[in-house]
Amino acid sequence: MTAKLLLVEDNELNRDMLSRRLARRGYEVVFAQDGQAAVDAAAKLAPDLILMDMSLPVIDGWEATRRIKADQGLRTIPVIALTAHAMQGDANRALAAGCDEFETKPVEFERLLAKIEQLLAARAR
Amino acid sequence: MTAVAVPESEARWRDWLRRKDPVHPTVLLDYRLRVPTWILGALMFASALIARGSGWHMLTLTFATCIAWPHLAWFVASRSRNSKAAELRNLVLDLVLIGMLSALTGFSLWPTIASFLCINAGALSVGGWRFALYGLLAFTVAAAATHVVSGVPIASSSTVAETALSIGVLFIYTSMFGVHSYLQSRRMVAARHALLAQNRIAEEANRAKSRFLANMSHELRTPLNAIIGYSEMLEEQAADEHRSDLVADLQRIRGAGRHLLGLINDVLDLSKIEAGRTELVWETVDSRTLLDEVADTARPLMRKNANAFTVDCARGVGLIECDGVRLKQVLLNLLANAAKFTREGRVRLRLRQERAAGRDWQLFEISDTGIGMTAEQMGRVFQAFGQADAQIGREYGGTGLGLVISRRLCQLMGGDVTMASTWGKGSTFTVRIPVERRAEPSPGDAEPAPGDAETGSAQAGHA
Repeated sequence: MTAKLLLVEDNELNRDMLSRRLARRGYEVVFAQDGQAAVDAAAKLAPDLILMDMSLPVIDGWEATRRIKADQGLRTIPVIALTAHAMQGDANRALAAGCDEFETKPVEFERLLAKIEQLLAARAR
Repeated sequence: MTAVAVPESEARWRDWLRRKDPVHPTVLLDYRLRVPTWILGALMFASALIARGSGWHMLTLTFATCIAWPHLAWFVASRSRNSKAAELRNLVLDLVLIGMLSALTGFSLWPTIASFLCINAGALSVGGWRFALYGLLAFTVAAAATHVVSGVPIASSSTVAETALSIGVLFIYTSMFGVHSYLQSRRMVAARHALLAQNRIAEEANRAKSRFLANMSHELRTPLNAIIGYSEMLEEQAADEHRSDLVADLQRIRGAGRHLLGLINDVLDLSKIEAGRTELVWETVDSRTLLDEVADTARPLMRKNANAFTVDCARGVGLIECDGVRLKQVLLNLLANAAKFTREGRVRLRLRQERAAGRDWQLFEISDTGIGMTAEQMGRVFQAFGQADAQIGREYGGTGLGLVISRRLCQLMGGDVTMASTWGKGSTFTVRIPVERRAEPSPGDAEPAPGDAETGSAQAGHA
């Protein structure tokens, strides 16, 4: 069974690029473009893992993560935060908001894949 | 031959008469002060002359002098080289006149004291002891000469009118100096307030600049992410399809993208440090563990140019108060440089502790047997974008900001980075960090670490 990843990213190019690369590695990728849509999609599409950009319109990635982690039905879905490099506080805030992992952009693709696999495996157990 | 040339001396005089420079405020103040006080002075001396039975011609001459002199003084002062020269001339001439008038009144006590003290106050406030001394000399010489020439006998007692007028002159003249210095100090206070307000505006502008830089670098990074990401994706595809010609070009795009990203990140880091917005995370770190972690990260870099890499730590080196993440960043940057500029040579990372300037310091020493630097290049390496030369930048890569950032970070931690290098032989960079954090570390008091402590401290615990 292929794992379903929810990619939350408002930038069209980055969304397209990342989803195609993930699809090449055999994942099913679904999208949301803002924080509110991410919370809705998490409930409706039941992804196995969420890749969440932090600077998002409507509600930002931190708040969206907080809402997902506050929901009994959704809290077990692992969330990987995608943060900008220089904002050192961003990563810590992401973890504080309940993210399970973080990766700085531009992502080291192989490292990101390793983190995805690790979290999926942990959840399957 | 019709020579119409004006003689040089006459031309100079004409220029001098016509000169109309902006008048110094002090010269203007003096003019306004002299016009009324010399009229009062005229009345004062006249009453003394009348009391001593002088004739009408003497009175007329006194009044004429006292009324004409301030205007003449203005004329001279406004054509002087500078306000100090103008003041010196006028005050000396003031005292010559006063000396003469005092002698003509037979040194009548009150007018003499009043007029001398007034001008003396002026001389002191304008030019200090030097002017006052010149004034005293002028007064004495003029008074003595007039006394001898005119033959007026000395009669120093004063009448009621002379006394009253003299007190009036003293009061008015000295009050004006008091008021003037009071206004001056008010202006200074106002100027200081204006300066503080300007500082606040400048600080706010600086913060705005930093915010702008932070936002801008975010905006720059977003499309760059796409460029790097797509080139990586295409690289994978090209590799799958065995298109090695494309792979090489795509790697160049990705490499250039990563380089640009490094530049943006470094510029942002540096601008944050310069704007004082870098918050250090202070913690107590075991520097042996830190050294091992740094060495592990650096090892793959060393293999690239086939360099031998050794790490050693002096005995007895233990905990240090610092920002561990930043210190690692600094050491990795220096090790990456050493690895980059050395081929098939040796890179050594050493840690030791020493005592200097009343404190304990940990010294991280990174030495290599690489290309080294000339004295001229060494002068530039700690400047932003001062990478030893442009050719080296092209050949070896790098942003040219790493050393600047490293040094600033160490200074924020109360230490410094110093270097020694020989062209063709290699370089040594030394990071010195105080073992214990100072009470209030701030970028302002990050005084350079003592650099001459290298000698005489070998007992600090070499392994």
